[in-house]
Amino acid sequence: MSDIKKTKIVTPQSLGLPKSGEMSGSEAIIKMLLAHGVKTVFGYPGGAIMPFYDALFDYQKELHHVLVRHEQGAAHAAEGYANASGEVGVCIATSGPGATNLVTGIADAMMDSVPMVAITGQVVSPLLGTDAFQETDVIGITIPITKWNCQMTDPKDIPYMMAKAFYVARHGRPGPVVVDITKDAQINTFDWKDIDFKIKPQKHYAQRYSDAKLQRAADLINAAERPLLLVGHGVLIGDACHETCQFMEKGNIPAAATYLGLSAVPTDHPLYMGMLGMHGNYAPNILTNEADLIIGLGMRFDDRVTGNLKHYAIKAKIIHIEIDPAEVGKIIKPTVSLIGEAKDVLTELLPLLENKDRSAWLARFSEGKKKELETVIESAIHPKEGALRTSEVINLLSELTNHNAVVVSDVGQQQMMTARYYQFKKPRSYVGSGGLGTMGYALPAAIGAAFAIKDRPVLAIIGDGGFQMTIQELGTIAQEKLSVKIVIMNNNYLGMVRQWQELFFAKRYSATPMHNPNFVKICEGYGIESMKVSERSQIKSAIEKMLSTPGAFCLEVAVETEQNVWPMVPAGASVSDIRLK
Amino acid sequence: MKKRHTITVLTENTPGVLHRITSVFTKRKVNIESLTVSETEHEEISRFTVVFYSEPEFVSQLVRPIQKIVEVVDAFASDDETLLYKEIAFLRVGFSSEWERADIEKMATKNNGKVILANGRTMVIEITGEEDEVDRFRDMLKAYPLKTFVRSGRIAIKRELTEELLDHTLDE
Repeated sequence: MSDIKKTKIVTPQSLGLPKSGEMSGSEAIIKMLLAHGVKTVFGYPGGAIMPFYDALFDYQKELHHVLVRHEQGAAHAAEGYANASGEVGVCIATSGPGATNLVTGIADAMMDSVPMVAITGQVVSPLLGTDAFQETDVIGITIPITKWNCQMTDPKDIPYMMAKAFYVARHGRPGPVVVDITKDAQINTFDWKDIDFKIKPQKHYAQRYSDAKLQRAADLINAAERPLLLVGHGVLIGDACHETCQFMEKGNIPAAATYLGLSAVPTDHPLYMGMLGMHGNYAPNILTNEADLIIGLGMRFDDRVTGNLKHYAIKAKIIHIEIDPAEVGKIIKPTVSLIGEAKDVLTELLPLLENKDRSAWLARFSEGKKKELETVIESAIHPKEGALRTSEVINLLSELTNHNAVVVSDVGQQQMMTARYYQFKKPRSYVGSGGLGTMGYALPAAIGAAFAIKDRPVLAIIGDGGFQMTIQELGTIAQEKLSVKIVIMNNNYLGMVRQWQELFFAKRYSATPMHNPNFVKICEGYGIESMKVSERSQIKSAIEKMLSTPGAFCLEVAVETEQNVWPMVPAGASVSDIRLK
Repeated sequence: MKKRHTITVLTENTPGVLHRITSVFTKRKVNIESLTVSETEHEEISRFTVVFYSEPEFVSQLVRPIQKIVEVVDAFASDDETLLYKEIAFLRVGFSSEWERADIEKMATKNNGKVILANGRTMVIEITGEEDEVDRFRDMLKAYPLKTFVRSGRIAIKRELTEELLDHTLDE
């Protein structure tokens, strides 16, 4: 985490802002970005944001602007950057359609607690509300999908509002902030000597529990015979991976990750039992209903995790450790809640924890693991015949990258296969769209991740459907000469929807078969090296070629058309009704 | 069972806060019965008084997201029993004779209402009271044509003095 996050009160002095001097609003925006450590921004110019882009021309060395091919790409790239680095991602768009094109990415960031500052241009202030050219009510549109937003019509408000935007975006439970800046506020000037402000921490994110409550939580854990720790996104956001492992090890407590909690605990940790949820692992799902204590850590009991709430955690007491008070009691009423940063709570809880033998309980997980390995995993990753399977390709990708890539996946079957079969060893190794489930996320998010991560390969794993939703960002990859390794799992179907149609809609494949273009030729058109494989005998050498080729590479894999993701908790069913086939 | 609840929200006085608060209700598909926004004893703080019907156990699902709004300084829910509350209403009522006019005036006076305007064949009565009192008064006048009925939202104050702005975290 950056120093700014730890600073209690933000002032112009703490940000190192100029003490005096005349400056345009546009230049002030750039100064504020630089003051917050921003080195890369993702955006797309247009009429109402042109003064900013003009000012940017003088700061090309300090602030790298990545020209995306569609504003949605800018928002997802900012998310990918934020998720891979833990820093605030910044995207920029003009007013009207530029701003509305950001909306999907902003909503995605809101669902997944991604720190993001989105800067939008706006028509000149005298024209506000007159339906001027490219005017849209960005504030009104983004209120339900932002943590905070604001509009600036006066350049002297820019330093404070930008400082507050960064503060709000990254503090407490992170989220997206939209700053809408009118064109005249960008053009007009102000004097830094008039700038003074203080931003204090938000009270509702303060730690709030008594020592007695902490002790009560410890007592529940120490008394539990069959505890299960649910590791959520909050562990990664709050940089609490180390403390989480300590907690598991001291208490011999098995842990399972939510989708967004993936990579918080190494997949080869002996107490790590896999992923929760609809397409998660068998043992943690089925044993949720055997556990006598569920500890939710930095997670929100999403419906994809809990399945049918009436039959969820039926024998368990619940401890909920969470930074956002609004998540506590929203879905599950906890026996004890501890509101605070995961790292702080675990650090306080750790000394109170007893070392306890839970080998009988852990053996239940081993049984479940074995059952899943035999019935699902073995045939998924080592099939002997038939077409290539997405799962075996992911498994191979994991092996051939030494389980060391930062993996960005799109949404659908390849997403669940990636979540299940890539082995994560380091925190923040996985970037994906969780709550919103945004197809088209991966390619632009991988661009953002590639700017954050320089010493590890960045893999983008995408289906043929999702790839075509943001395919234009190949242009961004080519222009920026980014080393993104793209793997298209092509089954010529919208696979996840097709799977549901097969299982729940009598195989009526309505609007899911896809006629696809020649992806290799498209990549060639962008100057990106590409190849297609469909034979099992070629896949290993193809992945090796992709990984050893400098720069971007796109590997299209023709995979089995009707492979399903197993196990599965059908929608509306209990987690213990998880189906293996 | 659904019950009437009041959420009081103290916020920084900036544009857009109303939209943020109502969007919490919209998202949860809760209808707002009445809403009053006004200044407070603190210059830069506004008070929102929101009245709605809900299952009691659901109220915290509305209060907590409201507390999260950046501009919100404090938000809390109250039952009617813990509050003093009133609203004001104007009723424009028609009459066709002096006898009717006198009858309406008598009813108004008896129920703490007052006639604040009379012209031609209509008069405007002002009444202040709890929502139920206003409703009862309106029913009482059923015999006469009600031309216009205007009522304010609720204003409410806690019966006990408790510090509301406990931890004032407004940006300076």
